[in-house]
Amino acid sequence: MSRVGHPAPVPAIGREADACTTAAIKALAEAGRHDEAREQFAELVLRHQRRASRIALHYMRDAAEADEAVQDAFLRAFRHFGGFRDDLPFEVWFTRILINGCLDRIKARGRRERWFPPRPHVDFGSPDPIEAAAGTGRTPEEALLGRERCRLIASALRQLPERQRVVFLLSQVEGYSSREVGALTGLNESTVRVHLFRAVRKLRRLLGDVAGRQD
Amino acid sequence: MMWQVFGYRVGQRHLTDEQLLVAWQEGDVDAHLDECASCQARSLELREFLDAVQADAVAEADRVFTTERLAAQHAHVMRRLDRTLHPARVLSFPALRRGIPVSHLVARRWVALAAAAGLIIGLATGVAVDRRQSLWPTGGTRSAAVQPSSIERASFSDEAFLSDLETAALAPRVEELQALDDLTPHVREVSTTLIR
Repeated sequence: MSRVGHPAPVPAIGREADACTTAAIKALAEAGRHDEAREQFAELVLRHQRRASRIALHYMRDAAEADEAVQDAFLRAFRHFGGFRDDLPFEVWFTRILINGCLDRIKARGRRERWFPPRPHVDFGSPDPIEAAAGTGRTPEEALLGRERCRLIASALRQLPERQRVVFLLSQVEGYSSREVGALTGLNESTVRVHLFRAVRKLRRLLGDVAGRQD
Repeated sequence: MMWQVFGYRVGQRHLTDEQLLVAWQEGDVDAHLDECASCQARSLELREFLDAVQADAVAEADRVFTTERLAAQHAHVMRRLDRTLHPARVLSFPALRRGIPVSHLVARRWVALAAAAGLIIGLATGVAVDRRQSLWPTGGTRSAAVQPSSIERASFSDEAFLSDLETAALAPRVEELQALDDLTPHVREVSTTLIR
């Protein structure tokens, strides 16, 4: 059997590039060259916004709110760049800011919904399977089946308790190690593993052979 | 104790799902996993399951956050950063000029002083005049004595009016206006008619 590896590990090259960029931003900000620091920061935004948007979406379950949470997190990161320490990779530090922002927003949403009726659940949109299949090399039937499987998996993920879901997503979807997930969530490493195991067990029970089925 | 039957190891405890997951998650390779075909099959199944979930979860999120949407998000973040770095100027109203020369301040001080002095002098004069008027006891009768009576004034004005009329009547007439004069009633006739 081939040696098993970490799921979708965060590329080390990206982290090295982040380290260079963050060092440059810090130096520029300290020298008062804020416009140049902003230009460097634009690169960081470009590098991390997709991952950040995914994480925020899994937390918020609303595209618009996730979008706002990501923007706020980037702004907060820029403002508090002086507080960034080099002992953690930038993306771990930034993801923590993002998660805290998301949690604040969820709290605020809870308070709001106590007084105002919640908005109806907005589906992310169901494109026409023919259009969705165009250019992907899949038939419309395959695209439709793929969408159905995505829907089932998303539904199963939603059924997980909050912590299990977050740990699972950070660990299995975003590829963070248990130590990093612990740093992100404030949980210790063994607790992360327990949550992860429970999440996987529950997902397997909920999904059966759905996830393993190929299109 | 462990036996090997048809290539499979028996009598050895297999890895639990949790151990398989940790091995997968952390990249650790258990010695048992290297040798046990059953655990390898379970590990492979678990890996396929997790790979599929990961792929679908990523696809689901990427379908929402398209490249265009991410570009818009990037632009929005940059705009907001610009606003943070270059906040809008707040114009105070009314704005006081900064850096006014000291000589201007001195001049302005003299103008204020002169205005205040003028006001005080004006007030003092007003008070003094008022007090002087109030100290004249016959002021009211005097003014009454000086003023001519309304009857006298009326008679004077009537006399002047009549004398003006006589002067006009006796004045040499212009021949060219004689015809017009004959056509229009004379003042004297009108006044006598009215008296009657």
